Amino acid sequence: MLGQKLTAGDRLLLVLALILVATLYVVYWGQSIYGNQAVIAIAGKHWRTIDLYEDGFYEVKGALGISQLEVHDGKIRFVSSPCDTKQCIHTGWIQHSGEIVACVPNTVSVRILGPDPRFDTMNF
Amino acid sequence: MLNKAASAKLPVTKFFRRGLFSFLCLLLISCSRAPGVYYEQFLGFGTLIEVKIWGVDEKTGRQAVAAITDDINYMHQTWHAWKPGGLSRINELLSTGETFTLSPSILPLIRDGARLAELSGDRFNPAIGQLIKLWGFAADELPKGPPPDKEAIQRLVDQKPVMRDLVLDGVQLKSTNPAVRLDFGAFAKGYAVDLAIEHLKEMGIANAIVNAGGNLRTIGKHGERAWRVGIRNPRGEGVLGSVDTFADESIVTSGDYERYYEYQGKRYHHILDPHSGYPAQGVTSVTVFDSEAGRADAASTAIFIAGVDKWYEVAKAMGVGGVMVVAADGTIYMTPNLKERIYFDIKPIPQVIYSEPLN
Repeated sequence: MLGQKLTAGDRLLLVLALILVATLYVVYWGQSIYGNQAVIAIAGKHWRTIDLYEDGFYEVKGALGISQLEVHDGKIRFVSSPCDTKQCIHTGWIQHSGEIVACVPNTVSVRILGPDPRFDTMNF
Repeated sequence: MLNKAASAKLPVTKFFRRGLFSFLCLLLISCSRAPGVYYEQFLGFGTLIEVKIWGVDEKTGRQAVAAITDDINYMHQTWHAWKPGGLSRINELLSTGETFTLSPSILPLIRDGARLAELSGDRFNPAIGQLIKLWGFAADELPKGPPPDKEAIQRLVDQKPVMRDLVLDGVQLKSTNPAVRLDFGAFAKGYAVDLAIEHLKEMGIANAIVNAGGNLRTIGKHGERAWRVGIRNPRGEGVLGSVDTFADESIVTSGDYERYYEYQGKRYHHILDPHSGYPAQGVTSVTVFDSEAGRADAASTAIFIAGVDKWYEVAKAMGVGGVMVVAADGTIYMTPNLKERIYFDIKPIPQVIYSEPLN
């Protein structure tokens, strides 16, 4: 086999293999610590899964009223919420896989999804 | 164009066929779902409760979470300090000084609470229900200030309600100090996490996380690796650091950012020093590592109150596994066994002062 000329098929295979390696690299070493989707839940029930690279605002109706979420450049945060503590807003942006921010009084929670979560859970 | 050229004169060599076969196998492997994590969250204890279980099918996961949801709802009702239920009845009866019969379900909470209070030098003190109420922290809504009247605070402090005032005989209880009102806010969540984990173990689950509003306990592992826990930065946004947990370990943090209000530019938080009657000063957060979440919960409050000077003494007395104290000036005090375990995620890496080993 050695010394033989590579056929078109061999070349195709090599290209595919290289693409596979490159994809694996991006998936596992690239930006993998950053999530690219977030799950929004109301009272623990799934409401929507959203793309964190589509900038915009979301209004989520919880137990007390509307919580407003902002998505920007792979990150998400609470902008307003009808709770007393505003702890959800104080938390600020979250972007890493597995990170959670919640407005408990309004029963709205956001969790970042990702292929290889940097954290399994958060202590606070 | 490549496709066209390839399909037109694609010589199917042996090398190519084998290669293609292996490639497709690889693709198939990467598509098949390994047994992963079963995840569910629900609201309980006035907070968000997360459960993660590794390596079970969905049905088992769902059943397990349903079981501990029932547990937690029951505990919350029974142990709640300000909603009608088991504890408010007990508090009414304690004020009479008469002997009464307890519901057995609350017995271990009182007994363990009393033991931990004693070890903490009454810094963790579940008997100060009246003081917590006076400050307005015994409510779903946060108080808006102003802080309570100085004399009113002093009056309650002078009555010195402590767990030792309780006389427990079997399921009979009375208080020799009419000022005792129980509030297990600094203990119940951690204790509930322990019971939930015990229940999971009984159901044959070996790898799981139960996290009740940041108070968590992990058992087993996430497949081949340890469970990885992020610790929130008490000031600013994001994560202070992370840690890989041991096979059965709890991590509980008490912070001044959890429940507080600001009045005339001053922060009044919910961790009240029973000796002064005021929110404890000098520390922003205390993270305790221990085998039991209940003890870690009580200890994180007691160590917060002990402050920068006394934290080590209290940690040692309470017998916890490891401690990280973030002082108000940003300095971190830590037991040396956490040195190799916590990876700081903030820049610049904070100044860390290590204590003597705990044991």
